[in-house]
Amino acid sequence: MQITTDDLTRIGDLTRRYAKYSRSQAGLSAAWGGLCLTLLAGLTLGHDLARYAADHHHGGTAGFWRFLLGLGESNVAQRPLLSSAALALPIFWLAGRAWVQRHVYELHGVVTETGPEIDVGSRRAFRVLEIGMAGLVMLGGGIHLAFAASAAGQAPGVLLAVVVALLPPILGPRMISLPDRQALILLCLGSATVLSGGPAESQLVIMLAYAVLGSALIVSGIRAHARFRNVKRELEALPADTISAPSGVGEPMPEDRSFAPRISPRDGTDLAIGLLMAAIQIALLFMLPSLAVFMLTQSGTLGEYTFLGELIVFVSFTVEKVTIGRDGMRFHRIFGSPRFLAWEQIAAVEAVGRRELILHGWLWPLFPPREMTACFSSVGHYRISWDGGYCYFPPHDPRQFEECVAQGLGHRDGGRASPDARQSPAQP
Amino acid sequence: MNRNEDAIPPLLDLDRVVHEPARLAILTALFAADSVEFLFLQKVTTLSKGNLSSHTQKLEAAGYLKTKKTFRGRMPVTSFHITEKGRVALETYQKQMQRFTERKLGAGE
Repeated sequence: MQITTDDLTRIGDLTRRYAKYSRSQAGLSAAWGGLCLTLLAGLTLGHDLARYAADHHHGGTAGFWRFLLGLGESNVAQRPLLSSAALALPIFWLAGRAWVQRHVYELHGVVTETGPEIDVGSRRAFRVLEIGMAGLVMLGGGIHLAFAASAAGQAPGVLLAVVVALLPPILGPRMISLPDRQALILLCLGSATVLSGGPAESQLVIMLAYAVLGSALIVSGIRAHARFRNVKRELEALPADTISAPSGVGEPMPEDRSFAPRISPRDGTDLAIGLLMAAIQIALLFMLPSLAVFMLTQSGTLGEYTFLGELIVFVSFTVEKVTIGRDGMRFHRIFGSPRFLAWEQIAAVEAVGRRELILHGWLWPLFPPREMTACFSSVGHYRISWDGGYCYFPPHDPRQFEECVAQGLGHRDGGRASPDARQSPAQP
Repeated sequence: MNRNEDAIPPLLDLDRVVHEPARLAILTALFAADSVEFLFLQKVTTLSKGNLSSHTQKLEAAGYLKTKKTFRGRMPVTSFHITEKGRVALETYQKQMQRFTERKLGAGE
């Protein structure tokens, strides 16, 4: 087992190049912004061309298209296609960027690039500003269109364009230094220009400039995406598990071992929390539905039967023990067949704190609960995660449980995992 | 003491937590970014889930990285962030190794 300088250089380089797409490289987001901008400019210029053609061919365009394109109208409020596009494109772009980020550039997990906005608060603040800017164009543009449609005035639209143009310099260089924000600012400016609704002839030069800028964004975005595809290819070409841990378990998996859940609370606080959670679960899961049945049918017997029926279903889901073996973990329910998770399916077994257990184990979802035992203690639980879900279990003997899990995971990894893969229970 | 023996003391001073290849790979990846999710770290270091989990715990215990556990929808997501202590440890390790290599090359001449 060894690692070379080349391996380390490759790891650092790949991480750095992948992380760029969380911040300083926009890739497809910039291309998408450029496409929106070019579309907007094209619609404005296309309107003028269509109007020119219609005027010189004695109104050959059908009524619907004349309305949609607003032929013969100089007021943007009378041009439904253009005004809708100008209003919606900034928000549409934001939605598209979120999709691209999630499904293209974060496919192998989120890696955040080191930069001036390293703290989560700053990143969130800029996200709010971006949405605020797109929202301002939508709101201001909508008000202007309503105003312009009735009074044919241009003043609010011009004001909107001025406000949007002034925002980026006011917000500082960080707002205009990143390519995806540049795309958003250009798009907002383009929309505001269109919505300001001046005579189409005066917008000709501006719209041509937007079309050129949009095309430049498309080209730079596609180039950046091509670089990302190289990163992705290199990542996917990496062989699995080339660096092995030295502190291997190497021990054979023991015979199947069963672990009963710990039921009793640890101290007074633990008992109080356990009782409160039990009261909430009983009230919401059993009493509320039986009360609803009673109210609907006016039959106390039916209400009681509902309560009992729910109790039976709930108990049948309750896990009475977990068996850990060579092949995986088996959750034995009081009634019904045990649920089995193979080691290959299990992503992690980690100790969790009180807060996580209460929020994600007991309170949501209420049924079927992720904490499936009759445990009254909110400490000493482990989260067992697999592809597609997770659950919680409080073993009565955490030390033995951790050892068996570490051996099981090590067995899966070919006896290379360390026994230290286990984690001590988190303190509440 | 000959020149080869001169090269040994820097090796004895090496930080054993950083010196292990898998942990060195993890720290190198974390050094290159602000925060890295488990999935990517597993991909780039080519470690298995169990090994990665084990080594990140050791690095966290040494104070070289911080772990953050959040939820994305229903799925738990773990991300790691190198601490200042971790950065210093990695840089020190790199310098020590460089010094050792230089001495070794010097001894070979």
